[in-house]
Amino acid sequence: ETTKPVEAPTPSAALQSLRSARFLSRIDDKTYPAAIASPNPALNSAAPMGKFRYDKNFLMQFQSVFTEKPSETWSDKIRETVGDADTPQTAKPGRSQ
Amino acid sequence: TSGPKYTESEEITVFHDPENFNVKHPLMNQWTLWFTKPPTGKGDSWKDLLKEVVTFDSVEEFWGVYNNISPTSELAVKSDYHLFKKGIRPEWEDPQNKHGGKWSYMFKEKRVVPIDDLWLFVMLAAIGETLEAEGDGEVMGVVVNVRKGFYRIGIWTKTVGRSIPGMGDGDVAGGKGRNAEKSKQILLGIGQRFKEVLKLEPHEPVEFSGHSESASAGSSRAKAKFTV
Repeated sequence: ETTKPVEAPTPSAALQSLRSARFLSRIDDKTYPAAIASPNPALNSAAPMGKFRYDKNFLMQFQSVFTEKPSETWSDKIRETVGDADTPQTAKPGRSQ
Repeated sequence: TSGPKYTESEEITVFHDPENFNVKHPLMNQWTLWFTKPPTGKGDSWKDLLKEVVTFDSVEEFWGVYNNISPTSELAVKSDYHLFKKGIRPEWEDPQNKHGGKWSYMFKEKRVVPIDDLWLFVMLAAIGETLEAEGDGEVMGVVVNVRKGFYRIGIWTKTVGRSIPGMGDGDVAGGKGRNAEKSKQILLGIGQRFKEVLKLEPHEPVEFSGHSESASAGSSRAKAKFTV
C-alpha cells in the first residue's frame, strides 16, 4: 500500500484527443465507419443543432473503444473520493499495470 | 510519423481512430458523478462522506470514467453512486430537489441481480436523455444504493406533479402553466421508461414518492404516490 502507482506525466494520445476534439454538430450516415450503428434517428428528428439524444445500443458501442482514464491524476482522485477499495479499481484496466 | 494524419476538415470519430480522433459526442447536459462512502463509525458527517468525483460532457469521457471506476457490485455496503446534472447536489435539501421526488426499485436478490448492467443502463438512459421528452425538465439525477439486504436504483425528479413557488407561469417542470394532469403524465412516463430500462416484469411495481414525505416518514416507508 506504500507504493504509489506512477502515472504518465504527459497525457496519452487518446486523452489529448479527448481534450482537443470538437463537438459534433450534426450526425449523418457518413459520420461513422460501416460497422458502427448511428443513433436511432427517431430520437433526433426534431433536435436543434448539436443537441443529440442517444439510445443504449448506440452508446454501448463506445464501451470497449474509449477505455482511457479521464485524467492524468485519476488514480489519486479515485483514492480521495471512492476510497482505497481493496478491490481492483477497474474491470477493464487501462495502460497502467 | 510525419505530419498530421488527417486533414483538418475530416471528421475522425473515436471509432475511426481511438488515439487520434478530432470530434466527440456532446451530451445535452453536463453530468457530475458523486460517491457516498460508507460511514467509518467514527462520527463522520454526511458532508464528509459525500464526494464529488468528476463532471463530464461527452459520451467518450463518460466511458473513460465508467471503465476506470469500481463497479457497483464491488462497493462496500452503505455506498452509493449518484449521477446528477451539474450544479445539483444529490441531497433532498438542494433547492432543485426539495420539492421533488423519486421513482425507485429495490432489488432484494443481491446475488442474482445483474446490478452492474442495470446501473449502467440507467446511467446511459440519463446521459442519452431518453428518460423524458424534450422540455419535460423533470430528471435531476439517478442513484444506486448498496445496502446489506438489497440494491436500490432510483431516478430523482424536480417535482411531485405540483407547481413550485418561484417557478413562474410557464409550461415547465414546477411552473403554473403545466397543469396537474400533464405533470402526472410526464412523471408516469419517466416511471414507465425507468421500468423498461430495469427490465422489470409487469407485476414488479416501481413506486414514486416525494422526498418530503419520505423524510417525515422517518425510517418507515413513505406511501407511494404513483406506481407503474
